[in-house]
Amino acid sequence: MLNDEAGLGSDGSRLLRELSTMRNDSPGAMRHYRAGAVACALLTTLIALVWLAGSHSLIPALQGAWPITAGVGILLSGLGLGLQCLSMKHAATRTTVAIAAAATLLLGLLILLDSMPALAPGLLSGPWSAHPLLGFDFVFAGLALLLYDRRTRGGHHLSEYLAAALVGLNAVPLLSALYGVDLLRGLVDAQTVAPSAALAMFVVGMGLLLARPTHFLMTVLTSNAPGARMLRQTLPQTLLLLLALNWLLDVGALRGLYPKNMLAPLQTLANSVLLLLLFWRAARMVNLEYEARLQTAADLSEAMSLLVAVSDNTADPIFVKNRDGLLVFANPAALKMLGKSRAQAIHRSLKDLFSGVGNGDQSELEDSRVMEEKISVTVEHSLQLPQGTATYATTKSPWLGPNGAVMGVIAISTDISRRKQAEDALRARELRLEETVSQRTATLRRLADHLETVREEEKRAIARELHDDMGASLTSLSMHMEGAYPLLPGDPKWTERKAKMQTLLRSLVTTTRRIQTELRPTMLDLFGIKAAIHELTDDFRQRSDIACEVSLPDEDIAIDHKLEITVYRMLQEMLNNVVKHAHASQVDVILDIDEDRIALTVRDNGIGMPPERRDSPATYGLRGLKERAAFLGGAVSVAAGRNGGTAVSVQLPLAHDEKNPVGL
Amino acid sequence: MLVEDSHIISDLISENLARIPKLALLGIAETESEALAMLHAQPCDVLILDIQLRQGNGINLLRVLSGDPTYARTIKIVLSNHVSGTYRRICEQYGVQFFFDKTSEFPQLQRLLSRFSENGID
Repeated sequence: MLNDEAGLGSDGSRLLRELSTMRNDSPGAMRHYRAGAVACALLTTLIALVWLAGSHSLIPALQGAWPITAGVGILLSGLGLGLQCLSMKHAATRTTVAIAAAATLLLGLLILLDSMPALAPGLLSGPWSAHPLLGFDFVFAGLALLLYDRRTRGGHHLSEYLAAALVGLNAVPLLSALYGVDLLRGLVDAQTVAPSAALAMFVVGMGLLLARPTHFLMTVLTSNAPGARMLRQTLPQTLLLLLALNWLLDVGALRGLYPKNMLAPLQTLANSVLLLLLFWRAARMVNLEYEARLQTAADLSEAMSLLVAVSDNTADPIFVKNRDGLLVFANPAALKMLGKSRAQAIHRSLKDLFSGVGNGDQSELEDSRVMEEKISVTVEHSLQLPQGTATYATTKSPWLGPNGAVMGVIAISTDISRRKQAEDALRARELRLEETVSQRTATLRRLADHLETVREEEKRAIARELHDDMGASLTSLSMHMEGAYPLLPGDPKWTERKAKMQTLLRSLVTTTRRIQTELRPTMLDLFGIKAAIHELTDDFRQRSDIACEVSLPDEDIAIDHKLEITVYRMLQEMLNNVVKHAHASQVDVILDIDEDRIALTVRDNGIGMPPERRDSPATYGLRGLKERAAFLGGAVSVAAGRNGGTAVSVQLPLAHDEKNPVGL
Repeated sequence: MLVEDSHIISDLISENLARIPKLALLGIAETESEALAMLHAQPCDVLILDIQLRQGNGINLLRVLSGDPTYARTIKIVLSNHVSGTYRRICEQYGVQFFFDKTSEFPQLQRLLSRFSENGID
């Protein structure tokens, strides 16, 4: 078996598998032995039945004197053996076997008592009386059946020895029959054992042995070990040869081929040749086995040296722990990592070796999971080593024995400290970057707010200037002109000029007022946000031909002036957006205020805003609203309105303390 | 009495009003508080006021006056550049009887005041 594939060497696991199978008995062979036992039982039972049926005279092999006791005993032994071959799980089977065995034993004892006239004269008579050999047979067979699966403290089975004795005992009458002498006649007068009965009990003994091929004596024969194989291959033929040779020599002497005194030397010579051949053959087989073993050992050592070379030269630490978590193997890289010598590390738990490492329990949990589920896991962990903190990625796999049982955990670690450091650095940099971005955003928002405030102030100043200076001048000019018109000559040329002058002046005044209002909504300053919204929406209706519904709170709104102008400008922006993009015919403006926030919603029934536009940085109007609201601690939400339009809603807190005013 | 923050205009108005007989300009106030002080000191029959002032505003002034029965009989005339419906509505709410566009309707104000001078205020 080993010779076939030896020589490849490198495949260590295959070798290990082969080595392990040598020790195991193959279940196939075991089945054969048990089948043999069943056949023995059947044969015995058959012989007994045929004899009991009274038809023994029909079969020459059965001829001879069989007492009734012998027939009954053989039948009981055969039945007992047959039942023993069956499954012994049922109590009924066990009981039946026990009864058959006890009956056989009793029968044997009776025959033995009968053979000692001094003790029990005339106990059995006539056809009941049997040769004491059969008594021994039945005692042995009965005892063997009774004690069949019982073991002594030393692991032996008494039944095996009894069965072997049974075989040996019955070989005597069989040999007598072969050589035509009666070896037993000397023991008990006028009684002999029929060869058929001896054969039946011989077969029972064989069957008893075969039915339990895993018991101690039988394993010598049945196991896969070389000795057993040698025994199986040489024993039967040697015995047959010995028997045949000696018988032939004996027959030759009887026939007078050579004088009787030649028989002994001739037999000695023949037996010596046979023994020589036997030993020669055995020696050859042992030698072959030895060579195969050597080859296997060489292959194994090659595989081992390869494994050792790999594990010694890798920079990755490799550990093997047994089921109790104790270190059974550590390669040089692992020992270096631990800072210990092999002797210091082996047979200690990793927890002890990494003193002060917090994740010992976690690691044990992983180990038990790997062993229970028979899976590989990869975990990352940091270790505080003498040479500094290191991060390892460790792959833990179950260490499976040759029979598939888990024997421990194999852990292979890879030092990923550098990668980890790079990752950490990257993450830290990302964090800093985010911080910078948010700081910059805040700064930009403050700047934007500042610009907005400055812009409002400038607008207010220009509006003031327009009102105080240009507006007043224009007004007074108009008033002067109104006074002067009646003085103009009445001819059509002057009438026409007067009309032109009036139109020009009116247009100038209107434009100035419009610019002034746009720059600074006077209404807001004078009457507050509600009136300003009314004015704005009135104006919106006129300019855009879009119906506008305004919903304002009933109570007066008293809010910070800056917030007021912000809300006003936002509404302007939102209405502008509606005019520019929405294609709406109806707009609802809703202002809502409660204790701590003000909410402005503009809802149109236009074409709606595609979602990608809502967040697009290119939509400056909306973006501006969002930035402004964000700076004031509020938010802008854009949603689909009813009827497919858009609803833009701004929420602003009433009390927003600007902690960081822009310092420019 | 006149409440107007622009000198050019107040000069022009006073010059024109001076021509109307039986009409005496009691004073010109430029801010809301000044106007209130003057009114406290010396009640008047006719009050002409602008809406937008350097300090305070005409609407506020009207609101104060509307709360004080002393000024219930005073004729209040708004002469302003802010002529939208909203302003007119609010002014009427605070008891303003007449509302003129400063730029184009000054002659109408003059005519109204001349009528007062001929027929008396009632």
